[in-house]
Amino acid sequence: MSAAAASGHLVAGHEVMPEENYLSVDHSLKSWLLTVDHKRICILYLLTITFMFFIGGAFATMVRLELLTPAGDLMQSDTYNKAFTMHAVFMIFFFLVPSIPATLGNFLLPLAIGAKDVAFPRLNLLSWYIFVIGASFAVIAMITGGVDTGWTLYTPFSTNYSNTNVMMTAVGILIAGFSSILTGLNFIVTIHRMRCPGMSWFRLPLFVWATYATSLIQVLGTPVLAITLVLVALERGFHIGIFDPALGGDPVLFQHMFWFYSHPAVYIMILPGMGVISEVITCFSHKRIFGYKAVAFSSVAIAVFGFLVWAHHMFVAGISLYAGLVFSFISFLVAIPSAIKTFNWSATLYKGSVRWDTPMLYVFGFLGLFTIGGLTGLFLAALGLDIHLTDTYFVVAHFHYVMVGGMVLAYLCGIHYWWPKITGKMYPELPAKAAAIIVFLGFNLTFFPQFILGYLGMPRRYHAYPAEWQVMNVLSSAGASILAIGFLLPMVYLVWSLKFGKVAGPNPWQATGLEWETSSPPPEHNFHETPVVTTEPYHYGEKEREI
Amino acid sequence: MHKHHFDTFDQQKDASSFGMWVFLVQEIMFFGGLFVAYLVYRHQYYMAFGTSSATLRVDLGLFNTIVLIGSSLTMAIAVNAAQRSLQKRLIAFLLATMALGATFLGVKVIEYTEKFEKREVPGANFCFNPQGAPCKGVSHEEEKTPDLIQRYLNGRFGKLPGLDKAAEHGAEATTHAEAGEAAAPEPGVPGEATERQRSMPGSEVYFSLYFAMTGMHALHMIVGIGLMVWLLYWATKGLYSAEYYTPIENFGLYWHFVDIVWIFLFPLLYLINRHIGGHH
Ligand SMILES: [Cu+2]
Repeated sequence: MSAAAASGHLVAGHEVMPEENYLSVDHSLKSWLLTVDHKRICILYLLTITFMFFIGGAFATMVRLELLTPAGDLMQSDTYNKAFTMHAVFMIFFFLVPSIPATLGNFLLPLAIGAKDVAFPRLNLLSWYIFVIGASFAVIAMITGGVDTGWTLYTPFSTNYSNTNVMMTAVGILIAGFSSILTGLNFIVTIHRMRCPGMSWFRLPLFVWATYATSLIQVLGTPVLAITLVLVALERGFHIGIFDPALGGDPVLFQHMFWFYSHPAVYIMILPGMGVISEVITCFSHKRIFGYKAVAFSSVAIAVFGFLVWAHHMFVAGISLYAGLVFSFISFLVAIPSAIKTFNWSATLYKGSVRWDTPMLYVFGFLGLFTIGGLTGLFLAALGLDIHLTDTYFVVAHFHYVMVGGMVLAYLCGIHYWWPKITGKMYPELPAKAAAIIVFLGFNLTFFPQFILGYLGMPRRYHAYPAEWQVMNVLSSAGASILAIGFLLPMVYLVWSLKFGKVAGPNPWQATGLEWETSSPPPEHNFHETPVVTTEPYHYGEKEREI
Repeated sequence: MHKHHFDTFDQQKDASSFGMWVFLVQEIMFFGGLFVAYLVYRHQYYMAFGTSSATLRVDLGLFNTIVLIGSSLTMAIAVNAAQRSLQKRLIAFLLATMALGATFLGVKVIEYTEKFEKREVPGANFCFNPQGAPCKGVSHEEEKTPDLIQRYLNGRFGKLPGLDKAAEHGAEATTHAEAGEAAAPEPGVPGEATERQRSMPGSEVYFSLYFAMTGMHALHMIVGIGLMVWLLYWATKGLYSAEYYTPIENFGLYWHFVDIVWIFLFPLLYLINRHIGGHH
């Protein structure tokens, strides 16, 4: 093994695909649709959310095309309202929220803790079906005319005035929410009860810690969104009066309840990405992670603080000044655990033997973009500055730096890093590197001008704007087309690699972690023998030191 | 016996009940949203909530409370029977729990129907105006059925404030903070205010919450009864015994949870404006 380790991943060429693996056990469609294997459920999710991503992407294309010119010429304002709403609904609820937990989380969690499966495999499959039903509602709502309320579904517009498909969209989100809750529940129980012998809490890979923190938010936050959507639906369908000011209700209460979920939800979207980064950065620095416990606990701290800051979305909604002060202060506090992570990742690189494989390119992209996204979040957490920036493109840019620059890059990073494990094949390195660089450049060209536009006062959610902002908007739209190429490329070469890629072998990256000790792709029950853990995680470089 | 992905049977049992507890935490957050809304509006429309609450039938609410606590008892006995492999007792007490659950829902139907008849259901037809003109199509106040408990108290302590007190409270309310929010016609709506718009401010919020909260609770009961049909089917097949009773035990947790939710709903919705021995 040490000889193989010395020659790096080139050794992959000599490997043979294991004849018995989770993909080869049965090829029938039925075996896929009725599977309870967490690895196959990962694939089901992967296909579903990729489809959702391209629907969301199509609407993003419409938005950027409209904004090429100052006049509202490509579509009417009503159509534009639908375009940005559908973009956000599909991207947030049907791509970002399930993205890493439902795909990589599903695949890796049992492997990483040495289990044969998640605690409740049938519930896991049920979660996927529930997700598909929810997504179908959203797609039908889209086909039959769409929805124009913004993804925030603010009342009383959503309950009383909008004449678009609010009800069906809300029901779709509600159903997808149940899927999210059940996945979180499944993962929490799995992490508590399914760890293999020797896998103590502080030997868990950091990806598992991040998934745990994410699951906590899914279980604690999503039900509040669920009841809020139920009330919106009751109000829209049966005209009860809980949020309607005409009946004595309070629309600000809706905002409180909505953001009680939707702020923590951004941590559902970013925490698993942070978990991926922790794994990849140690592997490609070939060095133990700096400050394991600090990184682990900062995930939990983000989950906890995340529940205490929601009203920073409501500084201009008429909440009291004192409430604003408290929420502003706590919002600043969230920066601490995020910074702890960033510093620890940087320290891990220090004196490591850093390799520049594709996943690592995404890590560097993530570090830069997430830092910008996080720091601009502090601008928005500041009470005074937020009044100037609320509902401008500055918010849009901030959010996309965290969600696309952070989460989507981490997702692509993880997909590339674990692709050999999931499929048994290596992706081609050159196009993958090119795609990573294209994504990075395209992303910055798309969203950096939006910071400037927002600072200058360009409001979000309008299809027309004054002519002096056209240059920045053209830059942004041009960047978006580059970004689109960057997202389409992996679709091509990853599919290509399924047939033509080099056989990966069990551990092409010389990574630590139990998932790398079994064959690629893993056998149906993950391990031929239940593994026993005897070492700390990330014992990189120790073998060499022994020799 | 245990499923393949668990190492031992104990691990499987442990995971299942842990999963159930996590599920109940999720349920607490779900109902928590409703309780927060209640708290906010009870504070905002203090009087209107009291007045509206007085229209509920405490006798039926109390009866239902007893029924539900009784069903928790029968459920606990059913779990115990499963743990001791007493098949017949398990089946009998599952049936008893189902019967009590159905009774609860039946009483709820009576209560809801009455609310529809009295136009106290939120929506275009809503009308609640204890201090003003009576609502069209609703018989006059003294003809409204005062509940049994109210009648008993009236007999024992002399005439006590029931619905008539509600009216006084309502009159008081208009002199309070809520007066500023009196239901004026919506700006831009021409002509006379509708009965709905002339209703007591905040009362429709109360009844919205009443229906949302008891409705969500009833939905959980219906799901529970459905699950019991499933458990009963397997119980008759003899699936549950001292070796394997996790589903019964977990369902018991769910049923007790639904019961506890009602224990909070009952005082918050029915009892906030009941006094013995006159005004305070
Ligand atoms: Cu936020």
